[in-house]
Amino acid sequence: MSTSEIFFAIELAVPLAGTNAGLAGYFRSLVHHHGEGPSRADKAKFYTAVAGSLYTQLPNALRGIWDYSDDVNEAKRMYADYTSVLSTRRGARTTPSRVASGGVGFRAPELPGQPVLTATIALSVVDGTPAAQMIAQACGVPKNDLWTRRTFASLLQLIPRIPFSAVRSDVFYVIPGSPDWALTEPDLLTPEFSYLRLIENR
Amino acid sequence: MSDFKRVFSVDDPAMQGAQWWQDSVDGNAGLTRRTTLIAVGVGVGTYLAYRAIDVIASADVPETTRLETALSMQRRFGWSFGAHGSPLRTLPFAVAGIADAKTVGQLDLPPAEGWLRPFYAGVLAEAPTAIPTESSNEGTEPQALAGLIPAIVLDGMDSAFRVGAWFPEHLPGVGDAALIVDLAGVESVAFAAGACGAYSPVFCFGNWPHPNGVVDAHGVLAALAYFQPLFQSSTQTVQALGGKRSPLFCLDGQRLAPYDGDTLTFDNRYRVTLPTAEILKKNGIRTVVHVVANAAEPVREDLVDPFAAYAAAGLVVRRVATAEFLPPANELKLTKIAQFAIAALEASAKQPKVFGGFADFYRRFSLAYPDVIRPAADSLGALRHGGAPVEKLADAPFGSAYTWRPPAKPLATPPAQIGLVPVVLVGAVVVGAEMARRRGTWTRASGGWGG
Repeated sequence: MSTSEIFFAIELAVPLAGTNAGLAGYFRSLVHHHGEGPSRADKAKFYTAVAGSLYTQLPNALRGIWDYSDDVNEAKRMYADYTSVLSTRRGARTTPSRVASGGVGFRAPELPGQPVLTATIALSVVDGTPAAQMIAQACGVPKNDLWTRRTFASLLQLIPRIPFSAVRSDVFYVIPGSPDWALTEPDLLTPEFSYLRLIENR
Repeated sequence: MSDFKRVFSVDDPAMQGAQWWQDSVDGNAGLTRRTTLIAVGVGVGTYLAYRAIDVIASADVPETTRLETALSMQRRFGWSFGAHGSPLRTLPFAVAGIADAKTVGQLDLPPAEGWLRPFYAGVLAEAPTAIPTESSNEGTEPQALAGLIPAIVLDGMDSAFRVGAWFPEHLPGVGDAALIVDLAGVESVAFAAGACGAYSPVFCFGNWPHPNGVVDAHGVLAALAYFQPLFQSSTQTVQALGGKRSPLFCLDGQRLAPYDGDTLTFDNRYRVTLPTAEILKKNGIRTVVHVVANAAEPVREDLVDPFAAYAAAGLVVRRVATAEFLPPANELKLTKIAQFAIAALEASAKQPKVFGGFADFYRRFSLAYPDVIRPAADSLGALRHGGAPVEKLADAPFGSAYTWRPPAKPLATPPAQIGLVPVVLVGAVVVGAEMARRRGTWTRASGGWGG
């Protein structure tokens, strides 16, 4: 028998330069160590690390989005849409945006603008569970506050506290995998990323 | 305890991530998520690689095509993506059967010097032992590449090896020169082998072989396998003795070979990354010598900007053509390094090649390249005598010293996209290469398959 489900996702675009240059490698390490068969406790640790890192980056975040749906059909569709990025690689670059650190190679046309990393978390959660209620409560944000840093911060703080026993499926992905393939600020203005919102400084 | 199961993962330079499922809370697992696991056996001594494929249950899901990076598709679906089972192209060199598969699997040869490692591309060395994580819509699975690499013999590389051996033999004091060897891949490797006593090879090979590849990367693998003992021993010797070697950036001159866009050809081209002028200067490099086959070759697109930047930063950028090296007029005494190399390779009794083909090679080279090695005091007069050295030496066989100049300006237009291959998708899932569909090796009906 199919269970009803809710959907929650959050995505942030943060600069991938200076002290943040190692962020892509850090996320790769997290995913690698999370492995093929993590326990619920592992899952909680994993998202504590991921959300904690994104929380630290939040003051510098350029754009972002979060989504919530408790309509089962919409939740299924939205989760499938977020998940499909893994296989379609929608938004990922097909060529490097710059050469390796300390290197000089070819001049990419997109070089203007700082390198950018997007990190996405999407969850499919069984409806009617404490986890679903917790998410629903956190996502009850007044319209004027939808895209503020404060709202993103509270949602990032929510993620590690979710009881993962009720999470049917989760997906986490980062673009790029290597700093040389970082997105650029002009990339964020393409249709692939048109859904990302400017984050309000409050 | 495993509560979650990873069903899909991506890990490449453009993107990384994964999806997990927790079946115990998924009351309809396997029906609604449209996901199945397919096990792919990869041979004795290896392990089973699992992959997740979104099964497109509905045959009316339309097929589409899009471009994907060639290397990422090869990593996912196998080195011969789109042409599984097809033979590798015959190399234009003498071969003696198949190279030792174990050696071919041990070609990760990073430079000993730490500052050079960021510019070493170990991508090619990964290919022989890489295990695909997914199956495509082709009727066959990829063969093990390690067992298909031809065994090259020295005959095919003799000339480049000997020219390479000339550099450490006769320019031992030129510690501030970096070589950028830009010959056909096999010959670049042979050159590096000849020079590796005094120059640290930095292999810049950023692609994988493919049966229909634009670039014959399997030839480079074959050459690396042939010279692997020499490269290893020279690195170990330098490490043991604490010696210092100048960098030799070993490039495949075919890496940006022309490609007409035919989908039956696999675009495994790539660009190289070289150190900035600042890094070179910081490590004592003052001169960059671009080694090519012929002096008249244009600078390849990916070197235009670096060379312009080097020249702008005050580095001396010169070009030497291997065609300017000829058999010597007089027999030359080989150094111990060259003797070792020759012995290791069971070389024939051929004599080494020298610059200009003259016994007074050192003076001639110094006259032609006074900024690479300083001419002896008594040669300076000859260089200055009669005015411009270009006219004085115009009839010499080493014309590139005076006729070639590095590009002064960066590329005027953005470089074209390279290294992309068309793939077929059903819904959102890559099911194979357009090449395989055109070749008629599509064996399972797209849109309705799974494990």
